Amino acid sequence: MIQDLRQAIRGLVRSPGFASAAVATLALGIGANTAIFSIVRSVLLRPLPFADPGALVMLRETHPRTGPVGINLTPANFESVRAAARSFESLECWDLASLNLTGRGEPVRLRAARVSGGLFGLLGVPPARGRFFRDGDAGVAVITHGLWSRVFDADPGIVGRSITLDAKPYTVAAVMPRGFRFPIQPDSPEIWVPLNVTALSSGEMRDARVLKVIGRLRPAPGSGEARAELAGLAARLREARPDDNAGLGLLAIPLRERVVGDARPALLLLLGGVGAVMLIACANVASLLLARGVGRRREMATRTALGASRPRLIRQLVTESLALWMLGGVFASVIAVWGVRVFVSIAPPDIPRLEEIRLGAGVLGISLLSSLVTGLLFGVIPAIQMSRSRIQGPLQDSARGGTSDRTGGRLRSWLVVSEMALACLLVVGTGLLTRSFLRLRASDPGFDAAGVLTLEVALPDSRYATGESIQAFFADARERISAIPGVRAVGGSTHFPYRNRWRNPVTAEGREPASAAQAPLATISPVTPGYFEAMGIPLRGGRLFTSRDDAGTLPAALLDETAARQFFPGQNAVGKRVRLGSGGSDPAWMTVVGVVGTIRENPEARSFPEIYLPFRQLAPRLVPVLGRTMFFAVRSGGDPLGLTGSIRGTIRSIDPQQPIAAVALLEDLRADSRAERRFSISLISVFGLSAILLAAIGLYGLVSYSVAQRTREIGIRSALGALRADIVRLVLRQGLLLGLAGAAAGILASYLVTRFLSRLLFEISPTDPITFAGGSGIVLSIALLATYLPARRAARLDPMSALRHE
Amino acid sequence: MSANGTPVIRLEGVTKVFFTDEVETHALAGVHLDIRNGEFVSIAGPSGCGKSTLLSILGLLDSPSGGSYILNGKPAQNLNLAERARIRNREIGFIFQSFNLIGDLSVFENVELPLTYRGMGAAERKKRVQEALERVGMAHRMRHFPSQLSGGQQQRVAVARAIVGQPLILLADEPTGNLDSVNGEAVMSLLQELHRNGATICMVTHDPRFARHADRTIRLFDGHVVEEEEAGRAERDLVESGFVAEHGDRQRGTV
Ligand SMILES: Nc1ncnc2c1ncn2[C@@H]1O[C@H](COP(=O)(O)OP(=O)(O)OP(=O)(O)O)[C@@H](O)[C@H]1O
Ligand SMILES: [Mg+2]
Repeated sequence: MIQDLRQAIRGLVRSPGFASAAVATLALGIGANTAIFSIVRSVLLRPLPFADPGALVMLRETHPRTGPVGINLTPANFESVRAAARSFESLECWDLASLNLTGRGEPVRLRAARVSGGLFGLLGVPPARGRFFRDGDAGVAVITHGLWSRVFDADPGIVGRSITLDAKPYTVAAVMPRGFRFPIQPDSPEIWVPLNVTALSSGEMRDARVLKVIGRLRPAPGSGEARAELAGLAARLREARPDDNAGLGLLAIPLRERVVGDARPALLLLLGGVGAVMLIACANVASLLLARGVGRRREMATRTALGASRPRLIRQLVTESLALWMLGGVFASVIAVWGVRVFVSIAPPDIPRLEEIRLGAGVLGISLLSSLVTGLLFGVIPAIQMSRSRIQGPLQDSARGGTSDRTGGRLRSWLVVSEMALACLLVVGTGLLTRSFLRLRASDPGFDAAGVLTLEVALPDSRYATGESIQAFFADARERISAIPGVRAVGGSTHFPYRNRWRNPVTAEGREPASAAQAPLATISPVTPGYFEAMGIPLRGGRLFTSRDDAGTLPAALLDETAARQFFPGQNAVGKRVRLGSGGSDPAWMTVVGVVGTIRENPEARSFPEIYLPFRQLAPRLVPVLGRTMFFAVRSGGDPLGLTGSIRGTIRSIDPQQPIAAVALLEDLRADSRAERRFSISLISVFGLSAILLAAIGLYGLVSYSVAQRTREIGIRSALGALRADIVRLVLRQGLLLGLAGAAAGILASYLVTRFLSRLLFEISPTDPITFAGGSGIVLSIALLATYLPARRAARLDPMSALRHE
Repeated sequence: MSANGTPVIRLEGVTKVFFTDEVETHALAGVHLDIRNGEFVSIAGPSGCGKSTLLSILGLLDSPSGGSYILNGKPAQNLNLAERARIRNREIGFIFQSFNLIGDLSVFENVELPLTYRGMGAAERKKRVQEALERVGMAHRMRHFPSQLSGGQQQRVAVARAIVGQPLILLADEPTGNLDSVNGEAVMSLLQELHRNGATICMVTHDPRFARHADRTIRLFDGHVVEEEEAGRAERDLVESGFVAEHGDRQRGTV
């Protein structure tokens, strides 16, 4: 055995081309695969970090106008469902908020959630310190481990300590364990405070769709039970409040789906990439070993003739495969560990569950095992082929000075062609996604982001209780910011692209819906004067808002072009009237004073018509609910970020306790909205790249080997007068034929497969001819390159020594 | 048939030195040689004396370290790669000991190869290949592959391949070395027939029986031409000098 090992190692050292191709294949194939698969598993397959996560569902309302994922519940509906539902062990709710933490140096704005008292119990994760609050508790807070260490310096006496949030005292009740996030989303809250559901459901907000609801299903024999019960409950809600609940349905979505739902297609795509790369790697190992086996037929025959038994030969070959595999495995593990680390460090933070990503030992094991099986299988084939009747052939070949290798090549060629085809498929897929991404990036958002700074000011209700005080603050703030030198235009909106949007049913005069459920949804944005100038949204007709559009004047509205077209097709919208709500009593008609360009913040999604109203005309009773947070856009003549300091100072000159938050360039907001996609595209590109690389290694190995095999033939050909160019052509033709076959098969495969990508593609057909041509072109050029090197080597062979070659 | 006409090949003081692992091997140490048009020359000598080296220099597979080589009146040592390939293709026909047919090509394609490299049209090629194969009596095996032929048949195909381009000279390195005596005789009589029809042949052989077919035998020893003799004497001398008995177990010419 030791002797076998020594011979095996010597054999590998003697054919460094073969050995390095095989080791590179194993390292790349297994390593990259393990890394990516670990990531996919952590994000997609591993259970959520809550007790019995399979039983957790999100409860959503559905309406005829909403998408398949539904919308939040109203407090009233939540109360009714919670009281009646039997198939849930518990139902809890939360709402995202932001709180200003003061009294510890600079005021800071914290991402927060108001949660019902039983939420933590429902999730089943115990706190690291302290204890949870319960329903009815007030003035208490639970904080993340991160906030505890960042802001409170990991103070061991934190539980029971008093802090000031939005100018009100709170007591810290508990610290969550490190890594706990809820809800799991890009900007998870850092702090949780009690939500008074009872107060909410009897107050002003009882019919606002604000509550996110999570439930834990009772262990039940049939899964249909909960659905049936929810259908019944929905029917009762529709009857009880036919106006607000017209067309209402209730939908339970498994929590996991909600968490990873968006990332799922991308991750499944990656998984497909993993499979393809793994297949290519295995094919590579197989074809390399086969080539080597054919090359050693004569050696095997000689050994057999000298009396080696077949088991003896097999043992030798197995040893060799094992030695290769171990070497490859070491490199692979290094690449895998390193790959996961790199991934986590470069991934955008909005990849869900990023911090849970670990290298999966099981995954590594599976990859190593599959490559081992391939290696052993194909490594041993030459020994098995060496049945007695075949011994003579190879030995005779040598006696006759033949150069024939007509038998061995077929399977290897097939393997390499399939590799090329898979690589082509991956390249085409990457190409489609990249082109789609570029189109997305180049698409016109409808505003001019260059030179615009955005920031957020959230006024706490403790100090700004009335709508009037809030409106006065923001009017003052806008006025003062516009006076800062370097500010070209400034305006704010309570609802802002990429941040938060407010959708509401609306009614256009003359097109009143037959029933409330049919009223169209529109994005509603209460804006201050200057907003359109600051954002660079063009005016298409009529006029913009001015400071005269306030509580004392006629309610005004601006429509975007989409709204104008949809609500008043074929007419001039200016002068027409619209109002919020689906009919009935309360809100007043607003006169359309102008039409502005449409914003497309996500060009892929269906865009809603957008209606702008003057912030000063927002009903004062709605302002504390909907208008307490203002997003300002500041257009600057110079460096927008340079304005941050003076803007912060300006805000503080109005209220020294008031922080500004979320300072960002509008351009960055726009880019960030595409970060996740860009990231998954770069991951896919890694696959495309490794696939192409592996296929190139495979082809290179095959052609090099066959050049080595054909050394003597090449000598004969040059003796007969072949020019170097003839020899190069001879070898290139072999590689190109394989490349062409691979590209053709790859194009066919792409044609069949890329349609599954169509959901991820923007303004590009899944069979885009340019991408297909480019993909096959890349594969062919790589094939050419991988063949050219051995071809050149072949052409440089000295005819004399080539003729001597055994 | 006696030697006459202008020399097709003229070697003057040709040397060949191989350097391997700090050992200089003087495979050829100043060889003078004239081969005239229509001559049949055989080269003899003990193993390792430089016969194959000489032949590969004549065939432009290798270049001499020193001396001059005039092929068909033109100096041949300073040709570039492409010109050498062109001359190998048009002026020289090789016959190897180990046949060296290309296993992936049929008999027809093997014979066709030199013409293909010449860029000849398909119809013309076909005609010439057929003629050549008929001359060696292998026309009926055109579609076979080398592995389906006996050794003697393979060598006849190799001869056809060597003559198909109507070269100036045929170079044969122990063309019968891998054949039994019957097949060997057949190939030799084929060469003789070609010679009678005017071919110039330079053949390396150990076998005195075959050497006597030649007009002239050149004996190499340690990279030198030690003897040149007319037909018929070579056999006797070789036996007397003991070279025949020694053949195969001496490596000479190594410094
Ligand atoms: N490429 C080479 N590198 C180093 N030495 C070489 C090379 N080719 C030939 N030789 C040496 O040159 C000498 C002459 O070799 P050559 O092949 O011409 O002998 P030969 O007369 O044909 O012998 P044989 O009858 O055995 O075929 C030998 O000593 C051989 O070892
Ligand atoms: Mg020789």
